[in-house]
Amino acid sequence: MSRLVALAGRRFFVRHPGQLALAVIGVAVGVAVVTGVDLAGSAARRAFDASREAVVGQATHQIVSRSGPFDEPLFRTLARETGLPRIAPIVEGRVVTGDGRVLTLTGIDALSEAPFRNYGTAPGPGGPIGVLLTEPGAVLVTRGLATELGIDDGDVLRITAGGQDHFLRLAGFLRPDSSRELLLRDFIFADIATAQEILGQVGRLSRIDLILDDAEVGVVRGLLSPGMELVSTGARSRNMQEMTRAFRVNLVALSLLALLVGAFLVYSTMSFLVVQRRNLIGTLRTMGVSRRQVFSSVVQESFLVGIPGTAIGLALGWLLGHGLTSLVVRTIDDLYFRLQVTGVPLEWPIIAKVLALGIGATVLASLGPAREAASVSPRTVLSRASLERQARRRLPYLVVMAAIVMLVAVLLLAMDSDSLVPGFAGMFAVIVAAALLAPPAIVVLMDLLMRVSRRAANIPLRMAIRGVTASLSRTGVSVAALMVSVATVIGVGLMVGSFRASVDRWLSDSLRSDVYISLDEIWYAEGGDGERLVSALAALPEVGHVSRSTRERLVSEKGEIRLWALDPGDVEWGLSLISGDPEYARRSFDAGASVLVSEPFARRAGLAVGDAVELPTSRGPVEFEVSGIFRDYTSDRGVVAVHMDRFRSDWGERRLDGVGLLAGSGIAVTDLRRAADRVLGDAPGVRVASNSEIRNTSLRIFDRTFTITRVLQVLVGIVAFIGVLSALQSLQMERVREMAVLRALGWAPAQIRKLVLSQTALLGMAAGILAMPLGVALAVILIHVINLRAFAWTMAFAMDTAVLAQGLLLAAVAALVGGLYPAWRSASRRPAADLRDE
Amino acid sequence: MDDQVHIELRELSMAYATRGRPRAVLDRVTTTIRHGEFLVLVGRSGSGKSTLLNLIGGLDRPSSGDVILDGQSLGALSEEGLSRLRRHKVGYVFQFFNLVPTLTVTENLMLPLDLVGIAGSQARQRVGWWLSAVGLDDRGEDYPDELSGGQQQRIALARALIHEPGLLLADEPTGNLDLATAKEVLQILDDLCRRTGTTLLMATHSPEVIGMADRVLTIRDGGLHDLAEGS
Repeated sequence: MSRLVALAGRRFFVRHPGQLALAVIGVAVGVAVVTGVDLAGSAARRAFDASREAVVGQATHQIVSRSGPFDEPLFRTLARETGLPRIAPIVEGRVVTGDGRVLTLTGIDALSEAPFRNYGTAPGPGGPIGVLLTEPGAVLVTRGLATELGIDDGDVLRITAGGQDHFLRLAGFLRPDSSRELLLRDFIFADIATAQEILGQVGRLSRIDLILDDAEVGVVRGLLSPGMELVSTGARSRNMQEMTRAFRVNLVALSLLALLVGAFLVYSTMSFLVVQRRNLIGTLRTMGVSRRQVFSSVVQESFLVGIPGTAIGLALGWLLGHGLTSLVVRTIDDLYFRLQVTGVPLEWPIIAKVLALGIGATVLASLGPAREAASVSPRTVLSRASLERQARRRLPYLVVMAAIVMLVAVLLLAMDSDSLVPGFAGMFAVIVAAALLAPPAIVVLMDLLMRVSRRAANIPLRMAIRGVTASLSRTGVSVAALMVSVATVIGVGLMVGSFRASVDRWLSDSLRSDVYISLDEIWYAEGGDGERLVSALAALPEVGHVSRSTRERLVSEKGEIRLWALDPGDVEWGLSLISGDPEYARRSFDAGASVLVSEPFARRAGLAVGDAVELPTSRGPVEFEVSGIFRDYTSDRGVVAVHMDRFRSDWGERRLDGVGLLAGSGIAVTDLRRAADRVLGDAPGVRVASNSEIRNTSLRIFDRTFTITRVLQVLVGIVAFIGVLSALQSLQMERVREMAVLRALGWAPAQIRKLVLSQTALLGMAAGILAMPLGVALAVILIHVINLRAFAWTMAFAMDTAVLAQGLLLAAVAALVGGLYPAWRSASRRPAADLRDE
Repeated sequence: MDDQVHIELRELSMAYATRGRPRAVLDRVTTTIRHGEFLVLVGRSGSGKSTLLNLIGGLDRPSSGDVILDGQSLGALSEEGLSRLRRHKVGYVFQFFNLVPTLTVTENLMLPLDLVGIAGSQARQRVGWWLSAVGLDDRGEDYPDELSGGQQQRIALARALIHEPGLLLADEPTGNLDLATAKEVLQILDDLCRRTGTTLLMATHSPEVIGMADRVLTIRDGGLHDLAEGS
């Protein structure tokens, strides 16, 4: 391509730095959102990997029992019969320090540990790990934990476990690298015998860590008795990764939506750049510049926007990543498991991905305008009227194209697939179809307004309306960009609102007790007894009814299964069945003859009422009949509910996690709670909450989970605002001569300002009105396709008119604020100069 | 074909659709134009003067008929071929100058040379010559908007001729200039075309051009008539 042709294009940007800046900022914000979300996701993933590695070390497999700790001889049998060199016994449990801090006491066999975990202990005669063997009661912690506990080498540490105090001596420090130091601050390492004694597990193990090759796996599995399980650490890791997958996928989708809006912005900017320079392009074409040269010139220019936009977006995204990481980690903490993030490094794979995405999206967005610039004949390019005629002529084609794209969208959305990809592709296709429909819809809207205003005989208003359709080649694109942004805000807002309403309703249905008591490991470590507590509570005159529950995680090669053992007693059980005969389900559940599964579990496992589900019990795998499917938003992985009596007989576990109290007739909840508090005293590890407190806390966590969504919504809104500003500035540049003529006819600057602002308000209003149906459609897709596939939760669509009104307001404000500067510029130009210039 | 013939119009017709109905602007126009001829097209606004120039320059395609330029049928050329033809054989001058606003005067003149692959000292030499020929030696580094209308049109003339196209199409080149400047520009235009042997086709309303032309054609009712045929 001619150097001078390229130079002419580049200099256009130099002469219109404002336009270049807006386009660059648009891309930058889009890229920043993608980068920020990506960084936050990878920081969380890395934190998760580090946490897993800190605990399981190099182990490839673990032997666990479905019924908790198991007898130690299995370790000796395995070591003797297989001759495996890399096998380490572990006993683990929670202990409480003097100041109430809960730590994990990990008992290790110092002689077996070397291949598994690198504790970075200081060298020396025997080394601190060796000291654990020779000195009973010796423990190791990280220096950070020692500082937090206020102890030093050789000091005594008091801990409580099983209701008894124990005194341990700090025999040295673990010195892991900085990435794992924080994670190991929750651990105390002791010799296995010491830990077994403290935890009341003498002769028993929590797990056996192994490093196995494929051949050894079969040998070990053959030696295991029923109820014992050989699980690969990779499977456990995958399982935990899988837990947060849907959450991360949703974030990525939202960030891609922001990039899509950014790409729309680039598309509109590049379109404006083309139409503004139609004279230049026409002149070049008359001089013999070919279509290909025009095309490549426009595409090359997109790099001028894409490269700096992506670079700035990368830097902004890194900053944003820090903020988003804390939100992501907080949500994962709230919903899944605890994570410790040590940093948000900008790594090469992320940089490469974002560069490709940012620059790629920009170049892709420029292809349409480039094609348009290259395809029109030089004569047409030179004629502004023909450009608008062409835009008008294209309207029926746009409707046909929109119909085709919409058909593709419907097919994609209707695909019977659990994959999110067709869902997102369908959603993006709906957005594209709506964008294609924007110009015809503007014409219809403005024609309607024109008819209404005819009666008012308001010439400036009619000029503003006419101006919108007269510049359809520009207004169509800008309204489409603003519409997509506002529709995204509406769609996500309605989805979150519907989700919240469904969760709220579900909480009302499920929380049948008045007061809930949760018992954690500290309570048990302090010697608590669940059944004795239930008896004491049931004897209270204020208590009308007591329900009991416990939650258990079953580990299997297929993944983790969450079991919810429940004894609802003879009152309503608080499960809202969405499938199954309630009477039969209740009868069969109470008799322990069947289980109930939550909606996500049923969907993921492909289960229906009447099917059988196999669960690993302490007696080996057992098949249970599924008598009902219930709504449940506690886990997107799903839950299996089993009656407490059946749970105790099949899993042998007698602990209780939760006790629900229903007030006796005529008893106030506050009195019930006071009575329960009297029984519980100030024992640690017990939390008491009323029905309304749990409900409020749950909704608070829900709102915290969606804080990140709101942050991303705001960012999408910023992209929308920049889009409008850019579009209006371009329009103002286009209409310089028209405004000069009006000034020459006697219009005052204030009238010009009013005209420009009226037109921008019309654009905003059009975008807002068109965004409403699109926003509702996006919400429906998010609820019935995306969330269903991601989380397997169904929820009722709740139409919130306030969200629609907010969308309309956002569009109008974005357009009006975006129009202020162009209005001021239009009114303050020198009409004589503009009239002289062609 | 006669060696003297530069352009041949064969049964050239052009119709535009207006409100869905075709409106003939040119109707089976046939004529020849010799090399180096200065031909003026006159006619009322909308009579088809610009349309004819666009067809001859390959900016538009006729509804029927053909334009033969230097023995080459324009109808047989692809879009790419037409671009190449304009690049090498046609120069354009417009009423509104159409200089590239983002390039300096020198760069504007370099542009056609760049497109035909003339660069370096040869290009610089030509630019210097043409700047001098239009009397603007000292304005090479200025941008178009720093020049007066007359100066811009003189640069537009130089840009149209610098690559020695052989054919210059001028569409109302003085329509945007005052009388004195218009005369000055016309003089330069006539002088440069005759010095370089360039065929000049000019659409104009300006009566003073008629005296300078070798031939004057009127477009009326879609037909092309020698002025002598009279109105």
